[in-house]
Amino acid sequence: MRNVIGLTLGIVISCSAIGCASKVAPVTPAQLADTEATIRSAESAGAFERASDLLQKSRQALSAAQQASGKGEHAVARKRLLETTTYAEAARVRAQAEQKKSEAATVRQQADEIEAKAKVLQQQLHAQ
Amino acid sequence: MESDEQEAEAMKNQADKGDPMRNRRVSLSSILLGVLTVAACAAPGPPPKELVEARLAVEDAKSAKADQRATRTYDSAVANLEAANKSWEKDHDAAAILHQARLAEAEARKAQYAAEIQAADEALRSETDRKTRQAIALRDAELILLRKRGQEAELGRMKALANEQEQALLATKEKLAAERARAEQEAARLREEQKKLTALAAERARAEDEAARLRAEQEKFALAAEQARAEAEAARLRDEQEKLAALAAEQARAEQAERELARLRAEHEKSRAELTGTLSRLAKVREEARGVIVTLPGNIYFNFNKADVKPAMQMQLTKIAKALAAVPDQNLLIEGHTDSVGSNEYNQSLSESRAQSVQTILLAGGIAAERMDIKGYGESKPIADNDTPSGQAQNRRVEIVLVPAKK
Repeated sequence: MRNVIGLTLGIVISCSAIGCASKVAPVTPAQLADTEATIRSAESAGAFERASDLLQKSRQALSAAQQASGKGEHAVARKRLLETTTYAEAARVRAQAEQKKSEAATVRQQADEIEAKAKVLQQQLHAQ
Repeated sequence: MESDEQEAEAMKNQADKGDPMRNRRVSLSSILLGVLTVAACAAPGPPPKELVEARLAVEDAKSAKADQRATRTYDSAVANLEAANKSWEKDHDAAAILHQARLAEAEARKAQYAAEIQAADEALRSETDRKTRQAIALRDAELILLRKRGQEAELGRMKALANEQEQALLATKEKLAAERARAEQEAARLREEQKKLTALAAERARAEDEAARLRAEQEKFALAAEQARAEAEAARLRDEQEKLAALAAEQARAEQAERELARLRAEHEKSRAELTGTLSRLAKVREEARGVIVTLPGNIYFNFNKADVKPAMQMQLTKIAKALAAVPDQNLLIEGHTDSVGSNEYNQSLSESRAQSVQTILLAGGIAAERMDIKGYGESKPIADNDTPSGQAQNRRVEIVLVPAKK
């Protein structure tokens, strides 16, 4: 029963996709440019170093979107473009998160160092 | 759609390769793979790699509390994952599965990292707070240490200052002690001086009392002396008065005597004049400073080379004696003189003998012997030239000098 329902749903979705494919508008250069800007924003945020896998997936999705758009598969292109944007944002957020973590680690280290110094001084004070 | 299927196959193959990021979740992946394996029994095959990654990503997101910190994105990821799972379980639309899985994975990662950003923010804030607190604690400790060091330095300085002050105090005390000793010595000296002064004052008072007493005594004595002096003066005055009276009496007597003397002188002058007149009738008389001189010429009264008075002249000489006897206040100095004929010794002897002869007659004529004195001068006092007979006659003489008798 589950297989029948899934199959039916898949067919419906496929038909809808096929039926809609011809109606989906192509990806505009502006949309591509916006997406690429999103990737560059992620790169600027340090995604090269801190989120290379997500950035790579974003670029793969972009490449696939471009290929699909070149083939006239506009629906696929839009989906892959959406994936591209989502991966790029994830990469940017991860880079930011790593940056934040690094900052937090730096601050923690500084706090640890200061705490150690404070403890040493307090020990000196107590020792006196 | 072909590429999606290839990717689905590739995803299936890669699912077992592992990712460094997921290595720490190997156990969880193993469990999920087990679940998928069980599910695969009902599904047409193993789930695509994208779906597996999406499920892992959602689990990671949940582990990162993205359901609380990035709820919207997490819910979207979950919805996409559910859609992908449903597609995988029911219609096996590979393209839709892969698309939904990719979106689910990307959104799950986005939610995970957003949650991690929040967590990192919280950690950053917390660590910043901790850093700030520790910095404050460090600063406080440094301040306390500095203050303590400063206090220690200040304490040291204060101790040094206290030592200096103590030394100065000791020096001052010693100085004061020395000053006090000197002052006590000075006070003792002053007390001694005071005692001495007191003794001196007492002595002076005693001396003043004594002086007053002496002054009183002196005054008394002075009074007595004055009185004595006054009495003596009075006595002296009385004596003076008496003396004056006596002097007056004496003066009266003197005046009386003077008057008597004047009278006597007058009488004497008179008698002398009378005597002189009488004698002038009897002999040669002259007056000199030493008195009346009666000259008895030798050639008249004596013979040549004889000492006795001629008898004829003895009566004359007796008259002269009687006249001289009338003036008993006149002594008689009988002087014999010769001329230069003959030796000196002879003339001396002759002159003395003739004076003796005259004295004898005068004695017989009533003149007391004590009124008469004789002297022989020889030829030593001529009154005329001895070279002539006249001169020689004048030089032969006896002179009776009337000299007032000494009373």
